[in-house]
Amino acid sequence: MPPPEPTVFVVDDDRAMRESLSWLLDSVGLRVRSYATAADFLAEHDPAQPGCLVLDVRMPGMSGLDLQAELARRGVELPTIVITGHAEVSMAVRAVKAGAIDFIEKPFSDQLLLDRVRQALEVDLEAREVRRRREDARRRLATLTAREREVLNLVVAGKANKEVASALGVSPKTVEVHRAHVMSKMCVDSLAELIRITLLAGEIRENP
Amino acid sequence: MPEVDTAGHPSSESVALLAQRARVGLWLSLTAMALFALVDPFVHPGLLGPLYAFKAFMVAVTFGLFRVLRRPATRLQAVTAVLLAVAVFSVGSAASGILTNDAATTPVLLVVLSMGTATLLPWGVYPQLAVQAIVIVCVMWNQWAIQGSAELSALPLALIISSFASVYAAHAAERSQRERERVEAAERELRARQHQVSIAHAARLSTLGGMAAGLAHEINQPLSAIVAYASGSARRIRDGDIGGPALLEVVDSFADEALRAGEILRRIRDFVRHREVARSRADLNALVREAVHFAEVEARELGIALRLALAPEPLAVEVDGIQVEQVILNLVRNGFEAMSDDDGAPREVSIETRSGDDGAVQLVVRDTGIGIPQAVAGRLFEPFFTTKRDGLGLGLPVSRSIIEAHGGLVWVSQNGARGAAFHIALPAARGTRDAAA
Repeated sequence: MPPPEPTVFVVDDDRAMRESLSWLLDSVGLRVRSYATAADFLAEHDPAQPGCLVLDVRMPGMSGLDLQAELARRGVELPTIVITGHAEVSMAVRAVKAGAIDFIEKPFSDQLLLDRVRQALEVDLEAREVRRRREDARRRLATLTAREREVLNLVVAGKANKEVASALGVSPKTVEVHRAHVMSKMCVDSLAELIRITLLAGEIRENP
Repeated sequence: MPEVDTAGHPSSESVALLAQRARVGLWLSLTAMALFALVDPFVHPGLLGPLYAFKAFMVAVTFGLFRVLRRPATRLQAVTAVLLAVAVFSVGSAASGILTNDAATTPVLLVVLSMGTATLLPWGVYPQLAVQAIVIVCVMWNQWAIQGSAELSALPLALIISSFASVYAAHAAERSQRERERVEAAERELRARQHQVSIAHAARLSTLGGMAAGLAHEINQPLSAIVAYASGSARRIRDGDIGGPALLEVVDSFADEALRAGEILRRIRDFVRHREVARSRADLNALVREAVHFAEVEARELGIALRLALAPEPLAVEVDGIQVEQVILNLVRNGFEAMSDDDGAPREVSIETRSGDDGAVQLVVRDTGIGIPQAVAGRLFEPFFTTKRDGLGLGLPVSRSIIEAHGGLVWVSQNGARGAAFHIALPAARGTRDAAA
């Protein structure tokens, strides 16, 4: 299945702002979906859909900051550009602290917005790639047996086969067999690669 | 402003004027008596004793009346004092004439006296009629005692004619005095109004200053939309992938947004324009909506729900629309500030309008804020009293002066369990009931 096309999600309560932003983003061939309220966006949002969020901070009901908080609570990592009105530095600071990658002050130049949006889409693609590889690594880790996990933990902690054998109370020969299974299940050829993929999966512990 | 009686002129002022003029009259009378006293030794050397006794009595009464007229409590008191003086002078003069067998001086003196009170004292027709009666009786007595009834035939006619003249003079003097007082009262009223207009204008400027950031955002919104529409169009035109009709639709959107920005500026300009008091028939509901245009920017920013519960029928009032909008905006923004401590409770300001049973229309602004502490309740409408860190303490006093200048009332109550409710009652415009029926 080809990955879905990246989409710019515009959330702004002001109809003219929504329409004009869509018109501008669409003029450079970006896919846009716009929502009048944060709740509408949350109701429709599919985390599998790549893209970025262009958000107005001031909105009735759920504000832009509230929406950021809600997305964080749901574990949705969507690069967010916050649009602020005139002289709202404190609000912009709060938005960035809440995870916005950028904020733009109204009225803004088209080039500025388009650059930021493209940048946000790249960030999202990279983040998705990292997440995909992490998921992959975790999936592979999950196929290991309990004994193979123990061997893996000791090996990535820098222990030699003999040390692993004595720590687990088995023969070095057995350790070698487990180690070969780990390498093939994790689809890696070298110890370096094994460490990298285990790090990526976030599975390394300090002390076995 | 001085106390005003029902006749429409300031009563204490007119009494003071009457007393002041009466004192002038008494001084003139004293001068006349002094002149006679100087002449008497030459003209009636044999009768000096009784003549001086009469004069001494009149002088004593005059000085007594000076005391009364220095500070008369009521108009009746002042009028009575003057009539007493007239009676004493008239009887004294008639008696002196009888004593000296002089029938010519008394009528002349008393006609001069009655013309004097008529022109000097702005006291109207009835006191002057009393003066004429006293004078006529005294002149008749004087003439009858000296010449007998046979000689009196022409005298009553002369007295009646002079009475008409002096009563008319008294009437004219009083009328011109009233007219002057009315003009002065109107001028005072006008000055008070202009003062109120200036204060209200200053308060509007201050209100608008407090909302400047929100309004700037509100103008920024259409400007941003215009920029985005324009740059999106420019890109399409450069790439040659847009036709006339599609572009036309977007150009219409530009125009709409520019008009929207202009409309916001118009509202601001109307709100702060300094102008004369202009009362006209307006719908209270429409005034609420106009005020809410300003308030909703801030409500959105603060995350406060602004709810309207307006009467379904138009509520006609005869008011200065901008000033009433100012009051509504002020009460709504007070409501916002009462809820600025965010403690998670629902935050709502509601505006209700309805027509009362008593020919008044009512407006209530409720909030769900901290309410009004007992200690503060009594001082809410005092100028320069404020509970806000950066407040001027003018909002509520100015609001009250505006509503009272329109013949209305402002009061405050608790809003159920939480918050405050500010009530306004304004007289309904005349003719509304008939139109509604």
